[in-house]
Amino acid sequence: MKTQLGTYDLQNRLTGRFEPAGLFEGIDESNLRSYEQDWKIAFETRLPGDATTAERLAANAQDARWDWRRLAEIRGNPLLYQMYAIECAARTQGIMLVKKGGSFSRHPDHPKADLIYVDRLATAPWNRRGFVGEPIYRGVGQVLLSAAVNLAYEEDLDGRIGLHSLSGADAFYRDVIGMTDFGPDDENYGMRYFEMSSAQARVFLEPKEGDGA
Amino acid sequence: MADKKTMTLNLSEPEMAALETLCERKGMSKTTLLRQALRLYQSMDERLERGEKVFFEDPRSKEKAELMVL
Amino acid sequence: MKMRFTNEWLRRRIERDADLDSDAGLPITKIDVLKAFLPEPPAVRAPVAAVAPQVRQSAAVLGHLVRQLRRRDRLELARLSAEVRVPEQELREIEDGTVTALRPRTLHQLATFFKIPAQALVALSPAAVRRDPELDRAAVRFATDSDDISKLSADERKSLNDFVKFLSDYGERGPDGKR
Repeated sequence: MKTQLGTYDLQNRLTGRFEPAGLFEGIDESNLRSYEQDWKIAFETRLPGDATTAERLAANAQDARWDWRRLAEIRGNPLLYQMYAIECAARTQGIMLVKKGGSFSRHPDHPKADLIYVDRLATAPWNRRGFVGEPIYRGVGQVLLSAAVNLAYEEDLDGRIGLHSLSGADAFYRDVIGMTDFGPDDENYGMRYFEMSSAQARVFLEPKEGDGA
Repeated sequence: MADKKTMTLNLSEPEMAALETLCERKGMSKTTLLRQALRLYQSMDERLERGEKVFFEDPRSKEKAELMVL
Repeated sequence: MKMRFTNEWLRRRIERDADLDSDAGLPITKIDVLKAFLPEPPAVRAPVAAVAPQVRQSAAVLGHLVRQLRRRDRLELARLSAEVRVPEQELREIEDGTVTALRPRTLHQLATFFKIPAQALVALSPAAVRRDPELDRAAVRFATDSDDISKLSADERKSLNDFVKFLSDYGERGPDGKR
């Protein structure tokens, strides 16, 4: 089931203007189509010169196992996973897959506390610095991540989230979002593991000076 | 989110005590804890249905202990 | 879901914060991961249309019985296939209720393995010549107690046990329908 959570503005870097984007909980055929057509075409026509090791690895058969395991879990546990999407200009600009149970905090503030695990956060290739010289929409990650923290509050998990960052995004999670960096995780292809603690979540959602009500 | 349904749960005193202790330790309401427990249980059950086994592993000794299977 | 942030708050963040890539987790390589979140299309099954409703119902009940027994014994389809030496595909079709003519050997193998009188399974099978109303009633009662998604619940277990007992007693009857 797909429901709209709200409308949020993304910034079009080329024009400098903000454009309204729909944030959705759940996906449908249109998102699938956008992913298969728009995203794939972009991936195929532009082989990233500075693609990260992890991404090159992802093309390996070995890493397809990640997806097959997820798939089995998703099908077998309808309660466990949730998908989100952002749409703007009639295209899917970003998607996020979160796991709502069975993930536990490593943070010293609340070790072993349940949290929302962001399994995937994927921005459309045309929005990524690592892919195109002039990425288009800015803010996809911010909106999706805010939605993840929101979900963590909704689920009574006090805003706690965890994720493994695709390298190239480490600075975003550490500096922009303000999450704790736990360093490279051997069990996850060396990707860095980040967490937002309950305290950090409170700070994250706090309106800053100059923000609207 | 989808409509919620209400349920009454009957627990023995020790079971209730265990639930309350867990809730306090984890800082969660009873509903949240049980919801998380359900997700975990479903996850485990799904793997068992597929013929997998669920183990705990001691990270230091690498010893594996099979989770009790009812 | 209550949203705890506003558009204005987000805009400020986007304007103020450094412009950096933000992907997390490995890229999705299998489109099926997304497809798993799409609403299920209505089940499309090879139409058993030309078949009489009673036969279709028997096939469904038999399929349901086999599936519940298999779940009770915590067997994967592959394992059951190996145990009874019946091809997996055939077992799948039986469980799906799309088999209208059960092979005598298959019927016998299943009866032996699950310890149900073969006679009872014969009476239940779609090819049975005479319909027994009592069996039909028990079968319908059994077939409606089920939830495919969950592990065999206490209710399902009871329902299955009751039906198996019924079938066992049924098998004790002579050809004239009396014990």
